[in-house]
Amino acid sequence: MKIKDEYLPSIAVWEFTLKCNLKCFHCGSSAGKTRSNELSTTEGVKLIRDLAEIGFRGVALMGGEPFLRQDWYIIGREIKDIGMKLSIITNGNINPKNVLSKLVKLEIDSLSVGLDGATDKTHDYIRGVKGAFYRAKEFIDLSKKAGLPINIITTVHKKNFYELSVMKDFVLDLGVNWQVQEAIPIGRFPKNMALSEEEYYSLGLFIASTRKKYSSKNIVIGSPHNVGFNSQFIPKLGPYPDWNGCWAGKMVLGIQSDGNIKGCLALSDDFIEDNIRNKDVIDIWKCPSSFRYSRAFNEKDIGENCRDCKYKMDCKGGCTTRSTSFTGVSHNDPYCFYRIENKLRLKGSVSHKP
Amino acid sequence: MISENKLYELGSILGLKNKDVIDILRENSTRNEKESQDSIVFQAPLDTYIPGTLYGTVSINDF
Repeated sequence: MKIKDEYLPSIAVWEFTLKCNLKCFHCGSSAGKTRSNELSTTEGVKLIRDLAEIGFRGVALMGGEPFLRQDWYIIGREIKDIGMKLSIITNGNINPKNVLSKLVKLEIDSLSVGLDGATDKTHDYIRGVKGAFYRAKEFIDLSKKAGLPINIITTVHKKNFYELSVMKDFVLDLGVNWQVQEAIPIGRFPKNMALSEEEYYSLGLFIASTRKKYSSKNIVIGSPHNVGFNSQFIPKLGPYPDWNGCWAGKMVLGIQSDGNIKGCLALSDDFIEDNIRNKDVIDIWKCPSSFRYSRAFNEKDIGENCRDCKYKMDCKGGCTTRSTSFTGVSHNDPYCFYRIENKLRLKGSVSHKP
Repeated sequence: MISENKLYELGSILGLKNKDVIDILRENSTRNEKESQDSIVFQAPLDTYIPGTLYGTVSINDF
């Protein structure tokens, strides 16, 4: 069966294991212990081959902590040998000697380390383990020295929001790319620690300003593809295609470590389509009834936050994960720059002439 | 209607000065004018995007 051309399989995000050596309070996966029935190496290799057959262009391995799985190099090798891009997201609390030379050999396309504070006090508090900050920093320094394509990801919430300007100087000193993203109340992250709508807008201004100031230093500062939408004042915060609705099940795919398939790994278990032990991922992707919330969007699905919005048919109510986690329904994302501007009566009357 | 002041206030939460906010508005205005004039939309090819990571290894200057 031919899938509509508008579904362009881009990147599959694989929760490689749920096992983790940290206890981050904002973890969206509630990671810690290995799932009892995680995919074997053989199943993983078949999964990679199937993803390549569908046409996915890359695979991101995350966790838990992906380097805690002994076969990460085998799977990474398979991804690269089959011609896909390889990305790994780690907490950096891994002995660098055990992984860095292998990553160089793999010619990994992107290596990201989570860093949530400019000091050990903040980072270790958020990550739940003493010493996490210094281990992550050493991992970053050595990765950079090894010539690896290293990025820092900072997940922002009320615990570290006001430390961002200090964090900015710290990251710029490190001289690595920086992705800043807001925490969403999934997994064990409590909703009351999420940024308010005004704080979120302030974060957008901060990213735009920092990116502008430091663009000449060849350091990329930005945010994920689902940031804001349709702002009248904040420029695009990343080089992504214009937002035209959630990418889940259209361009991205989420794979849990036990083989469950979702359109986006961050979505709740209510969005599991099937399991690759029951049905090949190729068949799940091609099935007409898969990912209906995303692929079969209808105007009547729009939630009250977006009902009167002039962009609703293009935007389709924003990010499904954020919408469902904050409001309980899809297509109703409250964390929208355009919506916040209207709410705050930022109606485009601002003068910005010199 | 508002009001630069509200935008300045929102910027100041994370330490931006009024001038920083004005610079953002200018950049956005330039982009909007450019897009309306020549219909060129700044887009990255999809295969450069890796969720959870910042643009893979592709620099913003490559686009």
